Amino acid sequence: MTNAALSCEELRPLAEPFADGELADDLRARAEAHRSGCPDCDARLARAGREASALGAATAVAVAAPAGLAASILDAIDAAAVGAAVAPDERRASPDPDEEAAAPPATRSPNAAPWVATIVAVGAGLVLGGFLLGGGDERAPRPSGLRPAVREGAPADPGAAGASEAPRPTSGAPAALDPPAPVDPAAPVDAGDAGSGAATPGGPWLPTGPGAVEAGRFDPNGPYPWAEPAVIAGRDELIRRLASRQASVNFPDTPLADVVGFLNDITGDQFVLSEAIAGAGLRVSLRTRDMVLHDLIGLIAAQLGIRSEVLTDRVVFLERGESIPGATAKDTAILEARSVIERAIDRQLVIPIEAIPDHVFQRRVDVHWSEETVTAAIDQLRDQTGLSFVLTTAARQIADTAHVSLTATQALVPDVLDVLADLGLVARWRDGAWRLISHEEAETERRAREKKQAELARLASVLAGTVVETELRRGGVRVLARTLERTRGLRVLLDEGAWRTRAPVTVMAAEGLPLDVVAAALRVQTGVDIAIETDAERRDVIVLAGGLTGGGSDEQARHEARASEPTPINDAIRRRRDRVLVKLRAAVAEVDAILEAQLDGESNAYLHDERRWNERRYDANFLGQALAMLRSRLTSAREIAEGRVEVEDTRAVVVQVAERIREVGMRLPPIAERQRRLNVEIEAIIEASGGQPDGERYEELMTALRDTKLEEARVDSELRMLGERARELCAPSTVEEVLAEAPIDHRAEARRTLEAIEGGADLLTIWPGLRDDPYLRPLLETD
Amino acid sequence: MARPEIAALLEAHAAVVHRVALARTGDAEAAAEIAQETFLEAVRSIDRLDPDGDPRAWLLGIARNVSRRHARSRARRAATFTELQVDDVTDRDDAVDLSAVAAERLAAAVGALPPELGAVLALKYDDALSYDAIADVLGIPRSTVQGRLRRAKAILRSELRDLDPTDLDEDARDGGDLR
Repeated sequence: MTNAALSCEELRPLAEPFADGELADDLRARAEAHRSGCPDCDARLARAGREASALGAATAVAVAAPAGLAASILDAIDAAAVGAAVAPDERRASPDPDEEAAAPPATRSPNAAPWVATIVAVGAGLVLGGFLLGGGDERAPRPSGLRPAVREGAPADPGAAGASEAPRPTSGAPAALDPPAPVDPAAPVDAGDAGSGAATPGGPWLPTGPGAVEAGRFDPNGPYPWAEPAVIAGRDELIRRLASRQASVNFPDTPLADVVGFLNDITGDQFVLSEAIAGAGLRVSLRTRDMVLHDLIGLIAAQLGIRSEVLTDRVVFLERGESIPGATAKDTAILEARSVIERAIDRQLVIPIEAIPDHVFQRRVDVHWSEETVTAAIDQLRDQTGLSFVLTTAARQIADTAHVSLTATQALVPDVLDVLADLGLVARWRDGAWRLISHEEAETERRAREKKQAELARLASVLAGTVVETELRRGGVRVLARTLERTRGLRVLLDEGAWRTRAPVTVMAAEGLPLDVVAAALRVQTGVDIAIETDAERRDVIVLAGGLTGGGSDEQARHEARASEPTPINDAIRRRRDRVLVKLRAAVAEVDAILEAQLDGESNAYLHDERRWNERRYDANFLGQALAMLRSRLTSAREIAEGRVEVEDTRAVVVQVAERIREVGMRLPPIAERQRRLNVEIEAIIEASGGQPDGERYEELMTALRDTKLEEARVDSELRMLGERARELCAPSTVEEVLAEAPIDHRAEARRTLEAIEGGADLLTIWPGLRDDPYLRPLLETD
Repeated sequence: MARPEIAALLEAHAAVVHRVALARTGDAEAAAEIAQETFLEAVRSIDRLDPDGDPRAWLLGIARNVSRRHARSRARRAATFTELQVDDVTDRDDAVDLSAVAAERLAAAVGALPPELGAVLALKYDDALSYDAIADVLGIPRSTVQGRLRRAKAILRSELRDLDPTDLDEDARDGGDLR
């Protein structure tokens, strides 16, 4: 880019970005340079600036939030809090009924205003049973007669001191499993013991890993804050404060975050959650009266299997209890990830896909069914194969009433069962038997599986905060590979077995997520053993190997080969897929018809009432509606086509729009030609009339010319909308969607498209074929 | 965070959050719901607000996520497929000078814009968000933001093309600045 002043032509389209303050510095300078010597452009820029100001004022008035929005939101917050709060008498509970009336507000934390106590309950059903700090002002020094709840070397007597005094966990099991008994606030304190700092082994308060706190945030890579004597002293001071106060609480299934908010409010200190547990959705159920805060926190930690560390004189850090002394952040992440996976398995959050054994898959049958009931047909299959066929009640009802006709020799059982899908039955190989269920039951199963997978994904998100999550019917492992490449910067190679594994995968891949956890998740979700190995020579290369093991890949190949054989079963399947394609084509044709009808309607309206047409043009949304309908129909068809169409959905729309652009563009040349002829004739009449044209023919020609201009405007308008739509479809967000949906062999193309758009490419770059259209190209270039 | 602070947060940012939601949904009612949900969520996670950070950016981030969830829970609106097209007459010398239109009339015309367009206009010219910031919070390309702004202005010019002279601001007609 040169530093020369801009020309008027160059400056013209930059007027608004200039006024909006969106020009790069050098461009702005060049605009200013030109402006100083060009009164016209100076006026143009000044006007753009005035317009920006006027629009600011106008939008402030016209696009204001609804009156009272802020107040209503505040009311909603209040209502949520008040609705969740307990009755005032309970909230004001005090250790001694006699003290209730006299309990002075000063005994509460200055930060714990009543409203704050309720706000932490928002949306979470937190009920504060009231609290009373027994030690007076929170910053008051520890009364000499009190002792901290945790003492070095204190005996691990669950009956006396509970978790807070249990030995420090060293093998992953949280020490604070038993609720600690309240500590006698009047018991003597041993300051020397409490001050022994980081070296003290035992108790939930003791720091065990790297950490630093700054502005309430925990940095696992930061320095060891407790290494400094001043920090150690401050830490002890906080322990003493917490041991010197009491609180009564009622947490009925309350989110941990709200509990922590409550603790922050009443203590004025900072209780900080580690990232791992902040998003874990932990909830606390606890009701106490007059419990020393230190022990209360120990109870909560024990209940949740977490541990607490006093890091500084103001900060208590809560993190998972499985940490091992000296463990690195990565070690901790691995432990947490394993925990999540184990929990997922324990709670049956994933339904392993059971591979059909080869001997079952290869079982062949001869069938000659003519209007046979499905029940009878299945009995024949049972007799021929010796396999078990189990029908649910719903499936049985269908099987008893539905009839099937099929003749096939040496057909594969899965293929025969596939034919029954047309009758509303779905076959699954599970627990060593063919299980036939109704479509409705299959749908219910699918929803349940999706729900479980969503929960798994949510659990996965606990692991690393940001999780790349993708779910595909097919190609799941391949998508995982690409995701790993994208998020981990790794080169991922798949062997054939892994490549062909098509079980769905909810991909979990994020920075810091250990590969062995990814592998575990993969095994759980696909039901087959896929190993993730690192390349011996290159650490940035990993290999996904295994998948359909034990000849699985060969089995897949055989299946595909069999699927292409010209058997009656395959023909039946092909016919079914053809029917889907027919529906697709019908949907596309219908969209075309809608477009044409809409266009005609708009055109007629325009002829009669230009303003009305303009209004309708703004409101019609016809293209969007048509495309939405197409999308909807594609989606329906996709479900029938078992995912095959799914991955082509967005692409199909893109292609459709591109084709439409070309089709519409081809209408322009004849219009231009008609206009040329009309103009020639009109000019001849004008010339012949000496500049005073009149007469029926002249009027006729002018009307025809007007019609052509209207038609041209209509085509132009549609082209612009299509161009906009095409760009929208190829916009990065949408291309990302395409990437998420596209089969593996389309992903590279989609990625190239994305990069092209991000690089500023236009439609002509994306679809070079458009360059061949002499009429469309100038239009697109100027659009 | 105490109630007055939250009230102040609402007072300062409810409008821009609502506009973002409006720009994303085109539905005033849904936008109000999203705004409410955004602030409820903000209150829940107030401890994640960086004390030194920009609360507006933080809120808009939440609003973006809430809007996204909201959009997922509804069928995708056909309107999002359709960018209304009008002739862009911005560069024409005879185009209506919006700053010359009486403020009330201009505000009325802005109010009559499709909500998505009006909201983007407000985010740019009242909330002074950059093209990039708007693109980020709406999840659309920068070029689409510019396109919507152009389109909004073009519609305004088209609507105000046949204004009665009394609707023109007197100062502006005399060549003065409206503001």
